[in-house]
Amino acid sequence: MENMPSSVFSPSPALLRARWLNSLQIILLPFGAVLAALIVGAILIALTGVNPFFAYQKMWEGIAKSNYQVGLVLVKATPLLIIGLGLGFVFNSGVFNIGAEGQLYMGALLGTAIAIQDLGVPAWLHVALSLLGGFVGGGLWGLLPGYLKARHNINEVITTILLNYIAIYIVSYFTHGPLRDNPLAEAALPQTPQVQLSSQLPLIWPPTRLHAGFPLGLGLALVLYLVTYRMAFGYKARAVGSSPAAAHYAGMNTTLIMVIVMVVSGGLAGVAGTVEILGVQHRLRDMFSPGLGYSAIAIALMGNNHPFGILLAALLFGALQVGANNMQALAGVPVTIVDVIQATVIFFVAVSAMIRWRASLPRLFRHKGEANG
Amino acid sequence: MEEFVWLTFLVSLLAAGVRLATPLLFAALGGITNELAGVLNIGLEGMMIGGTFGAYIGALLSGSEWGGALGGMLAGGLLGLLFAFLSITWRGDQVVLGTGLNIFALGLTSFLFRSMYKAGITQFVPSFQVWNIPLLSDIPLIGQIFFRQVPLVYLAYLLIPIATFLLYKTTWGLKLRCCGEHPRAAETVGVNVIKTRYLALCLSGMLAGLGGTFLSLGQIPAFTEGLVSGRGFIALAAIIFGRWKPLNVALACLLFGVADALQLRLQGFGLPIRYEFLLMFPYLLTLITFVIFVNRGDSPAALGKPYPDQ
Repeated sequence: MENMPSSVFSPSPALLRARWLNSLQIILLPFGAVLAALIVGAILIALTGVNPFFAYQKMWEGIAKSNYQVGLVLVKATPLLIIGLGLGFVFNSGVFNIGAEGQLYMGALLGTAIAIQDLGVPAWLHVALSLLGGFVGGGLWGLLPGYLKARHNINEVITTILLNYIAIYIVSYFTHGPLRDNPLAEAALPQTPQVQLSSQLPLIWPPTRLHAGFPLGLGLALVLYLVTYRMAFGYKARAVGSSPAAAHYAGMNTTLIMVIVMVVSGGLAGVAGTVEILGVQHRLRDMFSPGLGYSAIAIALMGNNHPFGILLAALLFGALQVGANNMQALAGVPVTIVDVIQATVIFFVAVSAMIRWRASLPRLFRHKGEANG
Repeated sequence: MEEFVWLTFLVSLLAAGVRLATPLLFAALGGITNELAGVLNIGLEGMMIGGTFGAYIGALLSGSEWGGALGGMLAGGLLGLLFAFLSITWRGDQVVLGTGLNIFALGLTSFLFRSMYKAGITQFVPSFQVWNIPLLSDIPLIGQIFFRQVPLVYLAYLLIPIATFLLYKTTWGLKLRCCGEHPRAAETVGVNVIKTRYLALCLSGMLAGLGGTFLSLGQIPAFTEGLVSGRGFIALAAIIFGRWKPLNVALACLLFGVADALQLRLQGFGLPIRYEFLLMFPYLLTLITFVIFVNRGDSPAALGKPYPDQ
């Protein structure tokens, strides 16, 4: 909404200045939100009897103490980035997909099903086919709620969240049943066999765990930037988000656009799930995601639905997660503090329009009644 | 003999259905209140999560399950107040805030719980015991199904006529519904829309908190992460299914409760269905009913829209 299409007229200095201030606020607000969320986190940590400075020091050491840790930050950021890109894309069109978790599971299921087969094809092709499978699995899981929303105006929030639970049980069925590794063994874990070597993503910064999924995510960020801000489709998709009725009267096929953005968003979540299997876990396990699809909502919102903002947010939350593990080990602060920090960021971003509005009023003209404008 | 087995099965199924519908019913009655006042509360799930933890702490501190119920209501009510502050005073998007509230409640309760029990050993808390209602519990079948339950179940079902009366038969209810239909009109006849919506959200949070209380103290006395697992969303679907009328919504909750009880029982039956599909069943049923019944267009007209509008 903030990013109105550029005017065809040459912009006046006043407009340029306003636009510059606008971008500054868009950049500064999320950082303010993170700072505020970290303060909320510090208060909570202090309440549990731990010195928050000590805890945050351990967090920082966990992030920056070695190249290995930095590599881990990028590994953790990768699925958040890829899901977040899809969510930013779909949020721009005014569709609030909170089904990324289920789409991630379905994508990982189909991607893994391809990755564990011995296809006898070159590695690059095997990886590509698996990722494609991930996109299709997640995309199909996004298609249904997208269609219901676009065609029948059925609230996507409720359908996508219910589909999350259903997807997790479907994956649970496959990892306990048809795709289970060594099903006859007494103590077999609910997981698939290891994916073929030819489908594993190569490590690109040994000895760290960083795999080729991260540059893939960077590439996707660039592609989504180009699609969203440099192509007609992206303009249309954003127009549907700003005003569906206006987009409809302008002759756009809003139904089709909504369905496409939902499929892309679900597909990217599916790719993220597959990348996580091919690059890190190498097996699909029952309940393998620690809520990546929900964390990515905070990331998309914090990144203002912009691919580059989402990249920064994903890196930040990847770092927070890696740091929180160290903080839990050495300061005894539970890692779930990161969820609280993420939720607080969502709160601040959600009320940011009002914060900007209140901040933009000159003091003299501000009085109580105006807030109700 | 055959018939007797089936009857026993049916009675135990329905009794469990009545029990499992209780947390949904509390949350749904809360959700009706805030939706009729015009606030869309996706955070119902989070308020229930807050309730499960608040109830555990309340029971732990007071040594009584009723202290637990108070704690559950307090936790839910505070989350409702937070939601109201962010969505009404600060005009944040209700859907975004609701999603944030769910993540917030899940993260905060898990953080606090893990901080309390770093060694992983938890403490015993008192829980609700079954109250057999004199005379009524002796009625064959009906008595077993409805009147041999824990007190929170009776409270939930008592709230159905109370909510119907308050929301649909009193001036207070009329004013509240007016805030959801046409807030500007409500304001012109002297209704304080902001105050009404604050109150509705706090009430809703307290009721959802009672639903959470039932989950942590009404069956097995324990707090675990993931106790609520989507029941807040099932309650949201039940509200739409029941068209915002407490009795109809209660019937929808009962349907979902019985579905849940059925899948639990079938798991022990050795049917040729995998248990993952049985676990999925309540969510699938909710999804299907939601999709079929959602679009009759009689939702509160101003639902989800901030007030005052621009």
